[in-house]
Amino acid sequence: MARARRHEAAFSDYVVASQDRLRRVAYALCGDWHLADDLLQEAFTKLYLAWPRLSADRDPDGYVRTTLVRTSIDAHRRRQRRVRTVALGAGQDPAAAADTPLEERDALITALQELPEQQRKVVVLRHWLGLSVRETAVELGINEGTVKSHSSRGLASLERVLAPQRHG
Amino acid sequence: MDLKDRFDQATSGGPSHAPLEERLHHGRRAAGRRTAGRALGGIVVAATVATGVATLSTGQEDRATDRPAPAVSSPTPAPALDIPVTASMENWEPEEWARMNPRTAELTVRRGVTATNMVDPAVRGVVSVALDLTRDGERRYVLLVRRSGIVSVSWDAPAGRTLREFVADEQDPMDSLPIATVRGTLDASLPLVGYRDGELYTVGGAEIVRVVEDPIEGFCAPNATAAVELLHEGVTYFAVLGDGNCGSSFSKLGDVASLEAIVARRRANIDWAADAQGERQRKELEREVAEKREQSDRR
Repeated sequence: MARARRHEAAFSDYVVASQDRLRRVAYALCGDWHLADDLLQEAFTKLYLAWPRLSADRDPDGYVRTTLVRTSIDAHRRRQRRVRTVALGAGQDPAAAADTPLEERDALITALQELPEQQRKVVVLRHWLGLSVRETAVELGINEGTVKSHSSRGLASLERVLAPQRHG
Repeated sequence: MDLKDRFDQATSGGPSHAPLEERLHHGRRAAGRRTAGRALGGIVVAATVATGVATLSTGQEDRATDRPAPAVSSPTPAPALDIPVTASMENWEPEEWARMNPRTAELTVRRGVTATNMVDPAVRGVVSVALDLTRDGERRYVLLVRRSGIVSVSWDAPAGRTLREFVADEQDPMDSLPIATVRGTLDASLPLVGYRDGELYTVGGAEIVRVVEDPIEGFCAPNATAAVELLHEGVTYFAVLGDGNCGSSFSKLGDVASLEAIVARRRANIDWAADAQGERQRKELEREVAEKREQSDRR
């Protein structure tokens, strides 16, 4: 019992410290804050189960990130039927959200969602989170050549969408 | 600004995070499912340890069963209830202290467990019982609820609460659980109030003070919706809910000022989401128009 409590305490500390940055990754992958929350919750649930078995040298961030990027996000989005209970004070904060113009906030995320799912994941892992080609390949379970082609195609697509804005 | 900076900026903000307890609850529930599934094979559908839930399904019809209240016997050292004890130690999950037969609603406790108090029914209108149990010096409250041939089990340490307070906590509307309000299923119940088959239903002890029907235009259409003020054990609670897969809001007096306030908050959330979606659609339309114009110019 005491060991279970220790595990849960450590898990809780990790969740509090990491949930913001990990949800940002989920949001980049799916483009919807609520779906991002769902995806992150699923990843945290898997991590909770794995926590006692997680070796000391295994990075929990990596575990969650792998869970996130190996989720079929588009399929998840299509079948999403879960009801969201909106906790008061925990919902969208219109005032805070208004701080950043919606156009600026959404341009990259919207453009990203137009990429095929695998391209999207490669772009996020390679060009935001800074994983190497090899690390990205391992993370996604694909070969390095595929990572390179997804990366170049994904970036080219983003450039076509984002460049006019930069010059506009 | 490089791509990394743009990502940093584009992903900043967002709504507040789910409460930590909700995150933990999902994990505990999944852990319980795994544990119970190992122990009881195909019978068990889901379970959690600690404050979680376990369900047993037989596929039998749900038939109301009148159960006589068990007689009190063996008054020393504490009054023990005469609940049948399962002789065999086999098939008991390590954390499982009491069972309800999903078909007959018969209660049993495992050998070595003593029941000293019982609330029956624990949830109004449902075959349910809460037990105060002791085993090897450890005390634990257990709640068993049968719905549609499925018995759900939850348990926790007393932690200074009465048995009835434990039952109330198990049905606490403040736990932010993502509870489905799917039409026509008994699982549609919310902790204190929910729609079942088109009617508002409350758990035992909860009194509906006020109902405002369809409080937000368009919310959850075409399903029935309501804002509900309830009184439960001296505490006023508020809920905005629909008889469909639309999400619900809960709060209590103190966290929110009034029923009108919770409706306003819910409306603001819906409006914000609609604005964001509208803005996204507008941009998509503009982009389409620009692309077509560009193609036309090229020709």
